[in-house]
Amino acid sequence: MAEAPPPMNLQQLALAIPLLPLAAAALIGLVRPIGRRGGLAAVISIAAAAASLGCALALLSRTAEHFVLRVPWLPVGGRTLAEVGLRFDGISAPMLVVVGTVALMVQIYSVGYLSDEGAGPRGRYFTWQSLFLFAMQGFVLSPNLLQLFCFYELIGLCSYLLIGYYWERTSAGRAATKAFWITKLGDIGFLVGLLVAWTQYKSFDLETIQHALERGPLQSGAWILPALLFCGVASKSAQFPLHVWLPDAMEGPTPVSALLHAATMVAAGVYLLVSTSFLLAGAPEVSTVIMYVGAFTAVFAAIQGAVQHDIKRVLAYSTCSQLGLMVAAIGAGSVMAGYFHLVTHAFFKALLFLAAGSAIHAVHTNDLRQMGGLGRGMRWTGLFFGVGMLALAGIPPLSGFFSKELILGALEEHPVALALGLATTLMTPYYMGRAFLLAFTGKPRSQSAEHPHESGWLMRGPMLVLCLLAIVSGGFLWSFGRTIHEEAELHVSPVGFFGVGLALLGLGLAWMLHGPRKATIDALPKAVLEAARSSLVDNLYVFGWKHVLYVVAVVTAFFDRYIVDGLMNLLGWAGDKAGGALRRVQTGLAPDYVLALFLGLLALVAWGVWGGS
Amino acid sequence: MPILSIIVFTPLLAALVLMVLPERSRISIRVTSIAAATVSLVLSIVALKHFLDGDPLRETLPLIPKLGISYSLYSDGWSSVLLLLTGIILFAGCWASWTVEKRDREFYVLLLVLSTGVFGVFVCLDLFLLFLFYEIAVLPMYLLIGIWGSSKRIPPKGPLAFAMAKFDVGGREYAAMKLTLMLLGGSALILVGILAMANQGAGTPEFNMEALARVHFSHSMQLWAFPLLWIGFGSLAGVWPFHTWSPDGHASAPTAVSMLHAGVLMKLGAFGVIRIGMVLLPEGAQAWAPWVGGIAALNVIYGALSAMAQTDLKYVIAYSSVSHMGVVLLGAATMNVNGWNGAVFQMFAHGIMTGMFFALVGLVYERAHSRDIPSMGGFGRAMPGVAVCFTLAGLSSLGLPGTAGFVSEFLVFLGAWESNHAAWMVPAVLGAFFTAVYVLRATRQIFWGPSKLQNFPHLSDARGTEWVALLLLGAMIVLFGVWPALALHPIDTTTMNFLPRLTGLLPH
Amino acid sequence: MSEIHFCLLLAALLFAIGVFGLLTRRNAIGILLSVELMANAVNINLVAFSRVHGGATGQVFALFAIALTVAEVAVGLALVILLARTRKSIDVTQARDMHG
Repeated sequence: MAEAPPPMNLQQLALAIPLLPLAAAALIGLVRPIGRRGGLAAVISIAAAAASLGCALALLSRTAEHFVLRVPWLPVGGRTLAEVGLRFDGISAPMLVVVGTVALMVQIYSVGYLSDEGAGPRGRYFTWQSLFLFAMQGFVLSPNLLQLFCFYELIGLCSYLLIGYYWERTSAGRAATKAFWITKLGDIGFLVGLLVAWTQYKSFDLETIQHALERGPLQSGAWILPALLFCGVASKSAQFPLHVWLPDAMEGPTPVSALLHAATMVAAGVYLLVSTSFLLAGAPEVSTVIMYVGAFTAVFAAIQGAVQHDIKRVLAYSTCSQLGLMVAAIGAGSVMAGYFHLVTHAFFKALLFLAAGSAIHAVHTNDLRQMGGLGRGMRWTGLFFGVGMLALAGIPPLSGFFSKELILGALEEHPVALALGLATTLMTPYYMGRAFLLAFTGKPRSQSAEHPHESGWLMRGPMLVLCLLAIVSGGFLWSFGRTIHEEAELHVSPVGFFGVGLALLGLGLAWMLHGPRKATIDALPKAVLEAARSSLVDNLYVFGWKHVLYVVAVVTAFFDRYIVDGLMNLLGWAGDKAGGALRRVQTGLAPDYVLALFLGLLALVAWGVWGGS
Repeated sequence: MPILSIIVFTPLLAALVLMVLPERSRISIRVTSIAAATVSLVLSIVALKHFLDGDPLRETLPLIPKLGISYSLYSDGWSSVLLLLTGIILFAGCWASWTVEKRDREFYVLLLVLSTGVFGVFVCLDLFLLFLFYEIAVLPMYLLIGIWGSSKRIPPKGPLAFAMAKFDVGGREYAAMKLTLMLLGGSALILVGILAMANQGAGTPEFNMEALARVHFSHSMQLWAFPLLWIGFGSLAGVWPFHTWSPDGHASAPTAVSMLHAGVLMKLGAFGVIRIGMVLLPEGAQAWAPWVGGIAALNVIYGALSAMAQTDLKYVIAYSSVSHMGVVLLGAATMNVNGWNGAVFQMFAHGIMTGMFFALVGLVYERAHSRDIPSMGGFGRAMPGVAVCFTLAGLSSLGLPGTAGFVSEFLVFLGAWESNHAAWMVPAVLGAFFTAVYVLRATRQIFWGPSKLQNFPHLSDARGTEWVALLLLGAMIVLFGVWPALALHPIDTTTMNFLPRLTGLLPH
Repeated sequence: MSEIHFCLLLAALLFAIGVFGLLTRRNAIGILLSVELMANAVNINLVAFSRVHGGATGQVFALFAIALTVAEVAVGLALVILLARTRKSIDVTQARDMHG
């Protein structure tokens, strides 16, 4: 009787998760004949993503066999300064599945969305998509701070490349570089954090640091590392004031927005916070700051989302706002709440983006003012967007309700943050309802909105999967809790009911103001609109660049070329002039030379007669 | 087999062979040069392998015993890695110069003679011969830039244009003259320093570095000798304020010359500061370390800011080199194991990266006949391969993980953080951020955006011979970014060998 | 020895006149004449000291000097003729091509 084959080695499965997409990226990117064929590139990329997801799912049930794999990477001082490796445990396992699922769905969707692009650009697209998946999964599996940083930056790179997919548009190029710069600004904090970690713990390894802290907390300066790491979190997860890149990132194709700027890349910051949450135990001040930054961002972004005309920007600000809630929850002490909201948010936000993309694809515009009544011709898309909207609003029994509950529960003890969180709970359904109603109900407001065609099944299929996940993933709460070793207590508190009430209120408001009967575009008072649309932070950044940094640069360049170099030129000029002056001695007249001869002779004689003694 | 001598003198031999080749045969000229470069490159890998196996190559031959001069070559970890760098850049440079039009034979001859000098400096243990090789490396520059360089200048614009036009000096002859004179000025200082060290004992002078390493120079002597070596070698390394030959020199030089100069020659200077200045005069180095580090930190940020304001593409890269060489010297000044490893690794990583940059810029200039960034745009359509390579080089320049540039910059930051002068980290990190600003801005302005191709009718992507250089350099950037231990291990071994002289005790 | 003083004085005077002529005359032949004066002044000196010390050393020296001076004048006049031929002038201030 043949024995059942042994189960595949855990390590190999874990390694396959990031390496399969990397292989796909290398294949598509470096082998020109493959890269040139858009269809083949798509197939390879999707196959790799699917296989990677399969490995992640296989591993999901085996988190009890957690392990850390370390390979020496930087030999310094005769020892190993830093390693690379894998960390598979209860924290990384769920994220791997979430990322893998959304990435696969987005890639399949992309085939339909980009069907009218050229083959070459599509090859480029799937190269970067696979590279991103590699970077993201590698990030999730990182066992130490340095590797987290490395993959963090690689994720930023892929974001840059994908936002700049339509590079022939000036706005796309600007958005991509802006995203890179703002995230790099926050990453400086992350980098300094690495150095601080080395000074404080003599190691970058998360497990080592955690054990060190368990043995005994730091004497002083325990707040420095989490504060610096939060700089990195704030940049990638678009927290105030480093949020300005996210709305502009919508220049990229909608599937990119769905994957990177809703579900995964921006969630990487939150995941970083989750992974290093053990550092917050010894730094309550930092936790408080994180909570307030998150809560403020949530409200701030929600207000801005309510006044946008571009459907993608509504969703972008919504993402920013929800990330704020996640961050606030973790700051308030509940890693469970933040992480679970990350999971549910990934599903329904990606769904929302894909549905929006479907609408955009049909109408060829992002502008809500030109949409309207799309629900009639695009029933599926309208349904998906509606489900996503309800999930985001936190209507039970959709998944968003559970994660919102947890977050509000976590904020219960902090009245200010709770108030901000509840305000968000009110505004979120409002702006989402507005977007839904303006786009899918009412009368069509433009030619192309009159006869929209529903998307093909390549685009509907992934949306359907995400829709189902958005509905049922609330039920994963308890197994999720078990996996990450946290208490999943979902106490249905008065706050929770209040939250649901607010959600319904928000939806009702949206219906009243933007429903098919009234269908106003901008219902808020003018002053609020102006204030919300003013991009103060953005303007500050632009000012800082144009009128500070660039000016300093020009002055420095001028100083270097005309003063420092001028000094060298001056030396040359002086040498030239001195030579010219000395040249006058050489008159070419023989009598002058004879005179010099005699004077020298006299001097010699004088020295001989009176000097020599 | 005297592998090191072969590495050093093969280019010279090839140059001699080239002198007798008929001028018309373009292919044979290039084949000979590339063959010589290949030999040196392959053998430098062999030398590195020897070192990793614990058997570093050494060749000794007494020359003038009465003056303490001997022919000693030795490749330790640093030398092996830098030999490899030179081999790579020379190889890439020979390929990148394929399209040189006039007097190509003389061009390749000078290039090869220059390479001999560079190879010699990296492996020579005898200070006198090292100086000789140093001069051989510097002098051909004058002819290379003066004859084959470009005098194209972008007319200044803006409110200060009249002043700038009035004081603007010259084209390639000016750049060549300024470069040569400033570097020779530095050489004069170096010579004084070397002679001071060699003549310390009674009786015959001693030029051998290993013997000198055992001599304890008086504290006061080290205090004045070290700055001579620092400024002398530093002027080649681009130390402020003696870096001003670099922007004009690099901008006017032909492609391969810029590649070699920024990629390798500037590293000669830094190598001299560390290997000769710091290792042989440790007390002087310790005393002057605050100055070395402070000015290096200034270099980083000053170079980055200057690069940001440039509109001429070659000037952007040239100032970028000044900035990155600041990182090297900053690492050196930290006097700890991370900083020194970072410094030498940065020499290697930046060498490759800047070699790639100048190869690309040369490509663009050759086709567009312009280096004026504001007039460019949308080149990605016509030259996608060049755009990708430019982005890769740019990412290495700003220190993206996965590229060689990250490892070196991170190690230097860590070294600076742990040193007595943690404040140096601020300009260093800011410099890295500013690098991201100007590199991505330049990339976007040149390659992205709506196409301005109608002004540039002859744009095309890289050709076969040009791809060799680009692919090799790009592969090296990624290889050493993902697997830095390849170079870091030999570097570290040698650092651990030299560093105790400065710290007095082994680092933690 | 007042005799010798007069001779030395005469020689010095002649030498001074010769130097003055050498430095200030523009005419090449004038310069040659001045050089002759200087040479002869030296000869007077030599003969005077010969008379003081007795013996013929100084006079022999003077004879050699005269012979050499003759040779030197011959060469000098040849140069002057060449100068006259190529530049149509023997004014030394006109021959300054080797100036700095």
